[in-house]
Amino acid sequence: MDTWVIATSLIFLYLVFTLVLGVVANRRMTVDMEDFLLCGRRAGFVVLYLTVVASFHSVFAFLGSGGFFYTHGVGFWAAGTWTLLVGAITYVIGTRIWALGKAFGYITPADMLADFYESEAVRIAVAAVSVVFTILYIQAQAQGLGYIINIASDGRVGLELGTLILLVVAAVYLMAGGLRAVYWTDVLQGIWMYIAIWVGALVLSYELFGGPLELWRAVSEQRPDLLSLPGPKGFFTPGMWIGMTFTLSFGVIFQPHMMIRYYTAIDAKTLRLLGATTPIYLMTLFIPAALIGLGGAVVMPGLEGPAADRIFPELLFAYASPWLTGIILAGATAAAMSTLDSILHANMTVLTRDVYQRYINPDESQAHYVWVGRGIVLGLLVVGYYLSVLRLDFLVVLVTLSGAGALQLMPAILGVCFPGGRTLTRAGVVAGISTGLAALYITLVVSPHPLGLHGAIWSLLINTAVAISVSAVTPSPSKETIERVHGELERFVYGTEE
Amino acid sequence: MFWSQLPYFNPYLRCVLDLAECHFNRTPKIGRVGHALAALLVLDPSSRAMESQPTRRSHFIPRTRDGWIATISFLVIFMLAMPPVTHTLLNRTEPWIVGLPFIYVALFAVYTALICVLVWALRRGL
Repeated sequence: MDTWVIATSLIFLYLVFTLVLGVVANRRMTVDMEDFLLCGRRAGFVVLYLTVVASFHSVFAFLGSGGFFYTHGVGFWAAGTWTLLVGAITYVIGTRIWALGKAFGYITPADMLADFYESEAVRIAVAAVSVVFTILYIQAQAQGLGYIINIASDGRVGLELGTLILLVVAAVYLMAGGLRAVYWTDVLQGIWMYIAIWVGALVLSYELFGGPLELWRAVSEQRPDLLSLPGPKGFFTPGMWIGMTFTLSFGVIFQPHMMIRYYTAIDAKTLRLLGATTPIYLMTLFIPAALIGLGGAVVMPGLEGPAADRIFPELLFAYASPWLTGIILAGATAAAMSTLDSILHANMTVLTRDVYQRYINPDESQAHYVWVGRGIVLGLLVVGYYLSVLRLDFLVVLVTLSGAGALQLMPAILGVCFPGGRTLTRAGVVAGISTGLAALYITLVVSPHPLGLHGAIWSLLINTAVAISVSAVTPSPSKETIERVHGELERFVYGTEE
Repeated sequence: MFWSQLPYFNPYLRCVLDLAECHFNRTPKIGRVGHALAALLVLDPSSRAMESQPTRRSHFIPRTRDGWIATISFLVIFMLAMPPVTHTLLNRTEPWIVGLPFIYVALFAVYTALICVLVWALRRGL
């Protein structure tokens, strides 16, 4: 049987299975916003672990990281730094976000920030940042899905059709089962993608080089330029290393699809355990990615730009068995879909809660909002599909831009989560976010990475300076609100009120 | 002696120090120049911007010995995975360690140490 038949069949089999999970999740669901949007705040360790890692590691980790090792060499091992920061952020900040969400019933990031800063302007700014920048992420995942199914079918299923099929499947199981369906499919996807990338990398390294150690030796002999910093094209400069570290940790964690996961944990202990252990999965996934990218650079040189992202499937088609190729490409589909469904869900949550319920129709039943959420998913599907067929450039650049946008929420979030000193004010937060976004446009698009420092870092520095300066001369939140929120954190972290 | 008296001779520095004192102490004392500055910015000095905020010990500073150990350990080890260390000390393939280039193994060791710090913090109940 031809490879493309097996690969495409396995992907479709996998898609059917996710739809079944969505239907089963639907039967367990109660018609309640908190259940539909937050899985009833009852997510345990195993489910939460796998959904966090599966959502964090997108098609970018599965395909883009191999492409990055292929093009820029060992410098992409910097990825370990941001995965470690993700663990630390979850441990320190995630638990505080969970505590406040549980105490005050927050559902979205904007709920928390608007409540503390007592401002609807803050709510709108945060909701806008959340939606606008994660839609870029939808585009990246959708494009990745199109690539995968196009490669798996050996070009028989077009990029646009492949993207549409996978977007529709993700939307259907999300609409059916809400966040519970997303979590259940993420469990499957998290396990599948991890096994797939490890098995694929090991099989290829033994097949092509006789083992991973021989692969490394071959790279040092034939492409020594890939084993030093800043890499063959000079990409991994110190400024870029630092910028990617902070953008792809804080920037991704502060996106709504990750922050909402903190609200759903069953208790703080679960989140602490999550923080201490998620880096193990996140970081070790880049070990096989290095084998694929660096090995690919030796045996299949010449792929440039976006084509480098295809190195893993290209190697599989050339050197692996049809069944293995199919299983691994289904794993790549899992990587993309697990992030895509989470982002669709997060955007649905933000638009339903922060826009529709808040400003358009505030006094409707829970069932009404659940149905509105489903309608919003359909709208997002159309927008995501339209953006994805525009075919913008390299996957990682899109993801970096997405992360850099959400990074602008960092000063405001730290202001809520870390009592002490003078707090930021609503005017300061809004001014900081606005200036930060303007600076981001200048330092990422108009004049990329001035003085070799990543544009995201420039924008964050400017954002923070403006937020502090404006806050120094504008009205702070009321004493009552500061006492309520920071008092809750004092009790949660130190077990007592001062 | 000279440095401690400098603000009294320099009104600009005094203005900055007044505002800084107000900022860090969270007291309404902002001084004459601070009020003038606030007036220039068309702000009401009696508004909540100038009022005291609830005093609370900073959550950025660890309060226990274990907290200090975890924070300092994480930051110091994390710096080993950041420039300039990565682009100078670690930026070489020799010596190869268990068949892998030095930079790869060194960074892996740093990442493993960071995970150990997080697990240690968890076990200590931080």
